[in-house]
Amino acid sequence: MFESILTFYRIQLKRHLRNKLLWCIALTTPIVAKYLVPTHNDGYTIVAVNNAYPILSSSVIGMELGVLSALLLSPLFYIYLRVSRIKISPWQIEDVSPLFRSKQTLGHWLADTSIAFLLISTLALAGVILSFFRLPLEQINPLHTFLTCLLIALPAFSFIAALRLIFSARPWLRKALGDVFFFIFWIIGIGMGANLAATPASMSLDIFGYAAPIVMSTNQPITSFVVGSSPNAIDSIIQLEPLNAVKSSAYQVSRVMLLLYAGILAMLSGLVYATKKHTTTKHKSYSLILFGNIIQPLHRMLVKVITLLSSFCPPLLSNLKQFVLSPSTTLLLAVLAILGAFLPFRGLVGPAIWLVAMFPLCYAISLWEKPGWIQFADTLPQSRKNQFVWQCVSASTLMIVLCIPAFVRCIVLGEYIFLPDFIFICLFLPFIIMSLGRLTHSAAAPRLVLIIVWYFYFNL
Amino acid sequence: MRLNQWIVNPNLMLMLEINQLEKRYKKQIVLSNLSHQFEQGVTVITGKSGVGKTTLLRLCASAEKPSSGQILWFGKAINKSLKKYRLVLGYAPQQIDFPEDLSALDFMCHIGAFKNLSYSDCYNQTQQLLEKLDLIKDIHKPIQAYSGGMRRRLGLAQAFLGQPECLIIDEPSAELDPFNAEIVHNLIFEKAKNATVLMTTHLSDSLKNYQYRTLHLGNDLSNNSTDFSAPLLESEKR
Repeated sequence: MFESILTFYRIQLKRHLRNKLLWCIALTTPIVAKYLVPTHNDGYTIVAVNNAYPILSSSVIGMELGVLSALLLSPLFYIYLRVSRIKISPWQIEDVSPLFRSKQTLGHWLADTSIAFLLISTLALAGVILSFFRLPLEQINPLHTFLTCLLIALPAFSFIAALRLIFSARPWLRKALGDVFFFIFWIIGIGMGANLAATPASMSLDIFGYAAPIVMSTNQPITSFVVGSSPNAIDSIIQLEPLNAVKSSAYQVSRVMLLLYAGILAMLSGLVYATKKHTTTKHKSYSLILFGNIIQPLHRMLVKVITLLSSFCPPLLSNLKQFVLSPSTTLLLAVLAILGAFLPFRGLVGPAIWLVAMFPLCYAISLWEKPGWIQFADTLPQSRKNQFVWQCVSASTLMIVLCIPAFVRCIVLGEYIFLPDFIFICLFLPFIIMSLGRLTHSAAAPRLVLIIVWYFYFNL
Repeated sequence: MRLNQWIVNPNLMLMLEINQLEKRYKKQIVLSNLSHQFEQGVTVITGKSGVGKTTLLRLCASAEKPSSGQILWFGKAINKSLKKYRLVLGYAPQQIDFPEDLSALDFMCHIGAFKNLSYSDCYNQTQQLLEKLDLIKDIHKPIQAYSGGMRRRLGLAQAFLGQPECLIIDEPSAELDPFNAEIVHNLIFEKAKNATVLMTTHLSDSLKNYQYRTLHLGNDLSNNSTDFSAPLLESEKR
């Protein structure tokens, strides 16, 4: 039993170590670390407790790196696992194998966790090096930095690795829905940690493990703590000791339990694995019952109109046709565009158009970036650079068309304050989607990044 | 012991049997009422493109479930003893998503782990197979450096791992030059001495030096008919 787990572990680890994307992440972590541990003179702080700057120590450096990587770099780790070529496997053969699939997922999870361990250790090492520049020599304790950073971040990364395996196990989670669920998990995970007091019971619910090291690090009553840039918190200072939490058995048990849950989740992903080849009969009939007689004819008409117009500007319209492949999404976008004439743009119509349009755009770029297609596209008379420009122009055109009613409304009402929103959604958003898709050759990275950015925009 | 009895029964020549097999995708019937008995040795499935050759192989390889009908291995329905059937199965589909970053050896060990082979067994078998298929000098090269023909041979090699009793191969000589096609055919026909081999090919002329049976699938399918619409036009022993 263990031999096949070990084989999968060994091979997956090899694939990780051969991956250039991983090396890029590993090489940038020391640079990232520099900005994650600001000095008092930098004018900002990453972790602020009671609106005060924490005095640096080895364990505080470890805590800052651990908390920040668990909260902010974990989506990057998810994207790496989701888009890099380690996910490619000969499923056509694997699907007819007699193996208990959980052995494979367990081996992969162990390898992913090992890689997370290496990445976090690199970050902690960068923290140790930083501490030589920022702390008096007698206060430097590399063990404290490593221990604090690893205990906070590693279980979180490991859980994310298991989550990725679950999202690869079911056909409906392999695409956009998986990324949306990850985003929801991420937001809820952050929220749970922040809202629950650091009691032993709540520690196991704090997946990112950041609340207890902050809350337990001081004896003063904590009125607020901020994770993320906080430029106002540099006027006062506070003494923190994250080792209080790191050395407490309740916190240690909660982190070990999280690792255990992650392992169980990885095994479970093997049990619920469904083959990639699946018929869509049920989905089709479901969508037909819902929309059949209303949307399909309208959608066919729209596609026909675009086809007729294709003679005027073929690249633009052929790209546009691919964005409106799904009748239901197209109808939803049309409804949102019309609503733009009646409802406020910021906080309602704008975020809605962004959210709905993002999925077909990401899907289209992922189709263009498939390896076989890239090789073919390279041989076309129009260069890949030109094709990319047309993709961006087409995506922008779609967004402009969708925003026209809202734009007219804003002009009529004199709400010029929303013009930057229009510019961002119509010009920058399509460019970001296409660029990220082009860089990562997949839909997952732009989707997840833009859901996170969308969330911030929605809360503006 | 029980497994071995089930796998190898030298008294029985009828190893794989399809019974009233039907496969449909939505309203399209691909295979209808197809019955046949595959004996030990090579059976070449021929027919025009789109007639259902690959579908038949996928069904026999348990990669898909039939809409109706049964597939029997030594008289037992494969869906009832799927794991045992897959232990004796070697399947080489036409299209494989190769993990390009892996070397041929790692790829074979990955597949070997799926077949419950130990690393040392897998390593030894890989050495022998890649030697026979003229890939041994490239065993440590990443697959991304492989040509189309090399990938085809590697895809084929993995099917031979674990000494399968039932070998299902889709277009083994596609993308291969005559020299390599002969190497591949030699390997398949050598294996067929103690296994049931099902394969498809468009190039049956390249097999003129070998003994095999042919199952020719006709193309007079009628979408509305539930009759015997994929007739066995020819089944002959050469």
